Amino acid sequence: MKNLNKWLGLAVVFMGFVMSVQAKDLVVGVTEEPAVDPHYLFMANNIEISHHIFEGLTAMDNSQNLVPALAVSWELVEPTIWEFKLRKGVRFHDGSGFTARDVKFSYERIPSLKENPNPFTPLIRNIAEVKIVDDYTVRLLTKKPDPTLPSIIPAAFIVSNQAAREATPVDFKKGRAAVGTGPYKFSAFQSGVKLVVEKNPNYWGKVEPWDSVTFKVLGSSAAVIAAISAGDIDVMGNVTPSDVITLKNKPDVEIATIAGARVSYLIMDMGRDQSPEFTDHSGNKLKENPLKDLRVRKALSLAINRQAIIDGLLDGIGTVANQLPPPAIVGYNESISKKTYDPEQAKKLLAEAGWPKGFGITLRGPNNAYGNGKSLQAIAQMWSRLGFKMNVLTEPKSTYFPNIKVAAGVKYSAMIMGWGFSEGGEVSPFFNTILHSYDAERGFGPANRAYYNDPYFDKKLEAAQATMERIERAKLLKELVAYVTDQYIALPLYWENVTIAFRRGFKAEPRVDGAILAMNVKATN
Amino acid sequence: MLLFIVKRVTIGVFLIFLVAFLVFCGVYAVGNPVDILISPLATQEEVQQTIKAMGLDLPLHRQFFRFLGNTLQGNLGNSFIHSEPAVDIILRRLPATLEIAFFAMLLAILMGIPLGLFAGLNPNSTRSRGIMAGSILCFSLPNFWIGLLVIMVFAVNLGILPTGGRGETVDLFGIPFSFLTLNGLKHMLMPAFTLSLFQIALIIRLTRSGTRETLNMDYILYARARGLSRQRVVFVHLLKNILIPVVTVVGLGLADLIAFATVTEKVFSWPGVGRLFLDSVVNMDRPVIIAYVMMIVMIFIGVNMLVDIVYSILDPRIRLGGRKH
Amino acid sequence: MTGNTMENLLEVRNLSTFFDTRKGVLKAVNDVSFDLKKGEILGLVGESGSGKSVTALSIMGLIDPPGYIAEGSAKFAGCELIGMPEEEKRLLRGKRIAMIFQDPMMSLNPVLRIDTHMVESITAHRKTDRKEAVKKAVEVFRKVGIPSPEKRLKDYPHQFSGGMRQRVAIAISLLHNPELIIADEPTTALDVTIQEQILYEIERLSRENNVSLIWVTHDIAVIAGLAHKLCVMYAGKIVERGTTDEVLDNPAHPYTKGLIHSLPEMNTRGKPLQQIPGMSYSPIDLPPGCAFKERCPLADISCEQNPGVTKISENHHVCCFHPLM
Repeated sequence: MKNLNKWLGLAVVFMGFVMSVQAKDLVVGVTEEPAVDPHYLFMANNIEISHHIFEGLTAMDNSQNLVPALAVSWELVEPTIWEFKLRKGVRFHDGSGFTARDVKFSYERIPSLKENPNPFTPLIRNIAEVKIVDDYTVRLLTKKPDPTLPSIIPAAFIVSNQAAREATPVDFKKGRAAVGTGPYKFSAFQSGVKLVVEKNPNYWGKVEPWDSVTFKVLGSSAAVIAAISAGDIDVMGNVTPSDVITLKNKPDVEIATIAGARVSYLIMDMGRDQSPEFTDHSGNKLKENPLKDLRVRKALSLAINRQAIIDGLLDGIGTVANQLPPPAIVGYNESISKKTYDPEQAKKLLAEAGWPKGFGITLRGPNNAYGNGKSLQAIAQMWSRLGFKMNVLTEPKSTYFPNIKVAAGVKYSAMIMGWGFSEGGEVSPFFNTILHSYDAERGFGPANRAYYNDPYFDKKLEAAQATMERIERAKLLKELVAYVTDQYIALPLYWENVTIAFRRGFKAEPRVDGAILAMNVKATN
Repeated sequence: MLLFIVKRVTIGVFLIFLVAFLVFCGVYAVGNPVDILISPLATQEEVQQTIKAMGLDLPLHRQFFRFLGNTLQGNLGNSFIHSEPAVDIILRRLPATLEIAFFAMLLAILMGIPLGLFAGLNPNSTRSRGIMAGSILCFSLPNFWIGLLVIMVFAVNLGILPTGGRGETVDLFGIPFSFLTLNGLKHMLMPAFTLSLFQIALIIRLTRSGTRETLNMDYILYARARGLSRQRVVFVHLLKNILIPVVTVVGLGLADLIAFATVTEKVFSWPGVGRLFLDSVVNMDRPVIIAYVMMIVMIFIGVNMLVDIVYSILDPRIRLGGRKH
Repeated sequence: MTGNTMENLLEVRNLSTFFDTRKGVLKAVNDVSFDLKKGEILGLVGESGSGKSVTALSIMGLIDPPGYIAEGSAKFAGCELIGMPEEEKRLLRGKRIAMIFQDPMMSLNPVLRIDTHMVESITAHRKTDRKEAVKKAVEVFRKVGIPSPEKRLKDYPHQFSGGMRQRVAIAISLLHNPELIIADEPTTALDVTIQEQILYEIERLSRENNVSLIWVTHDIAVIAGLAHKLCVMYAGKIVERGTTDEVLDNPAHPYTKGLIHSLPEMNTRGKPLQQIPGMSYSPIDLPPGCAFKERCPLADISCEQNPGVTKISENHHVCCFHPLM
């Protein structure tokens, strides 16, 4: 008997040793410091990481389809009341039970965070009140009827009303408040170095295979590339086209790319009578705005060889955009099929509009985002072939954005921008922000840098947003997209791909919204 | 001595605030951090609310006075990105920078002084010429280029060193340092080495010229005339005299390394204050930018003062003044 | 040269020390020969650049490239110094042959204390502990007349007056009871009043300890009362040698005469000082023949040849075609 115990003991120790040696850890390379607090700094990198520790009432799957998360079902009981039935038996990482109280607390915490330069309020701005019906039923009362609410709130993460009571972002970084319901729990955080999360064995869903996930913070994208090449990290996201070329040569690194939900587009002033950076060929400011003429706008769009940009600057990774929303987004209109590149037609239209030799345009963009100004150079070349006098100026993000504030008067006339369609999966938030006429009080058009002022468009957009019925709503949005495409207000360039890279021994699924989730990474071999 | 210190500290405090004001104006002029950081989905109203909540809608002088008032209470504001006091985040990242700065300087001294001494004592040997040519390279090759090269060779291709980041840390007096673990040293090696190159070149050249100059001094001849061994002549008479200017360079160089390790830290993803500063500039994290600049000014003033004090200790002519009899 | 070789402490024969410069070969010391007996004081007189200091350094073995000893010998107590291995020479320096330099402010290391200088001079040649060494240092300080030696030992060179510093140098030279002291212009840098003191000190100590002395100077008046014999150097050559009385009372070489007559004491009050006409020669690539011929009132065509040694009496020799008689 003693011998048996001894052998059993040894066997257990041996198994333990073997199992610990087999601990599966994943290392993800990131370039931005995680906020840890899921309500602080509304940025894609933070949301991506928050998905591991926290969850929302609903969630988006890898293809941007809405699925249940902490809520099992939801129903629009009245035009301004959404009722959510919560999942039972879910425990927070500290063992406490998840109830409606946590939902109310979280939703009220979001706007209450002081000193948050980038709050999560856009997600919940339409929610007037959170009513607790019972422990597992909650009602969201909206200010205006909003049929899309469930698809807007996946990133409104639920925190524990006990652990996060009066917690600041620092408390989350220290870990005591970072208590969520997600497949991973907070383990350690070192500012500037890494965030480590470990497997939540009591997760209500499928328990993860990774014992720990480390988000390693590296100084630049070059450092991430070097790290994945050397094996210091296992997975990375945000692989740019030039990175693809570098990584293709590494035998231990694999690349996966899918069509994403980001569009790169040009927005040009077509509303102001005089625009600051439209000049004649001698450089004098024009007394009128040529872009008020649809023919000029169309000509400018048709002169851009989008496929050439994709092939030349993006190594072929991307899709020509013939409209603003990509196919995965509600509002995408399959019947739009006109050519996007037709230089002959462009020349004709310009001449018709009375600008046979074009005029002077300064193209503006950031040098540390949106392709870093390279597409601008290509576009400038294409337009100068039509006779335009082109100038391309780029600057860092930190000065670019302040210079193009609509509220202060946009200082430029032609700008390159990008938009990620993750929130809501619809084109309406985008149209609201960029194309609806500017109305500070009602919160419309804060980024309407084209100075587009079209009552027809405004009314139709507002009507679409008020339409509850899904199919009818989609139809209205498609019509809007068709209309805007025909008007050449904002010129879509291309839809970006989501490209990720992972090392041999791993397999990662890219998501349409570009997030790298450990839940999507499997070990191979 | 006391008067000297008091004078220096007073000037220093004035300088710190002057620089803070200049940086404040500069950062204010560039733009509103909220405009860059805020989500594109935010409405104008939300943007305005956020700006107001952060106190960024006040005019420049009001903002500066508020800043002054807070500073005198020891509060330099909260970082926009990290949401904790700027002073805290800087202090937390400082040990990492101090680590590689000190190690870089140590490397520079351990390699620079012997090499410079050798080159000074044997000016015409091919090895000496090699050393001097090498020092020119170290001066002229840009930091980040060497860093990237070293990463490519040792981390990516050979795989013997990590591509970046800091290694395991061990707490010393409650402050985490990474030089006490093997893993930590592995991570520290390349960034400290890259940082040290410029200083090595400086020290080699300084030691060499100091040696050449001192060798011609009468006291060296006299030491030899008294039959002192070559070891003693070189390592006591020669070295003690060259060390005085070297100490000055080392002190100022250390301040330099701490302040300008930015590029190296970025290349090696080293979590020090340099990288923090670069990130805060890109993100317009104003409190951190200003706090960082103030800290740098303090470091330079402090180091300059220390070097002057050490100098006077080392050179008895300055310390003890004139003749007794 | 006559004289019993057994009695000669130092025998210098045909010593030549040249320097390779870019402009040509500088013959600093050119075929120099002289003897020195035990206890004798020799005055080595010449203007600056005449080669007297180089002669002293050559004997000590302290000639560095681009200088080299081209030929000749210097036998010290029977041992040949020229070509002796460096380590053996080092053992002699400071122990059996000591040197005193002109400016002790330059020859003492300003950053080292006096006791450091003393102790290292002692321990370079003798295994003693520090306490013993300090005791010995105090002893020699008393010998040379430095008051409160224990206190002064802790001082730095710049805290001593010129005269005191030279006493320190003298003290150092006496540490190991050398047989020969070479003093290179030891009083030139001192005030006239102090000169007298130091002169007296050196002469007394040399007499008391039976130490031979080579006193290098440009000022014939200084050693007139002190030296037993004189060697007059010009352009690297000894142009006249003899006992002090012989040379001063009956100078045979026109240069020696000129030197004596240019002394202020020898001149009548109110009349302009007598000078040796002409300019000092350029020391590089001297033309053949007597180097003094350009300035000599007695020079003629025969002076184009090198004058050999003319014996005037047993000890009085001159190198001149027209010796004064």
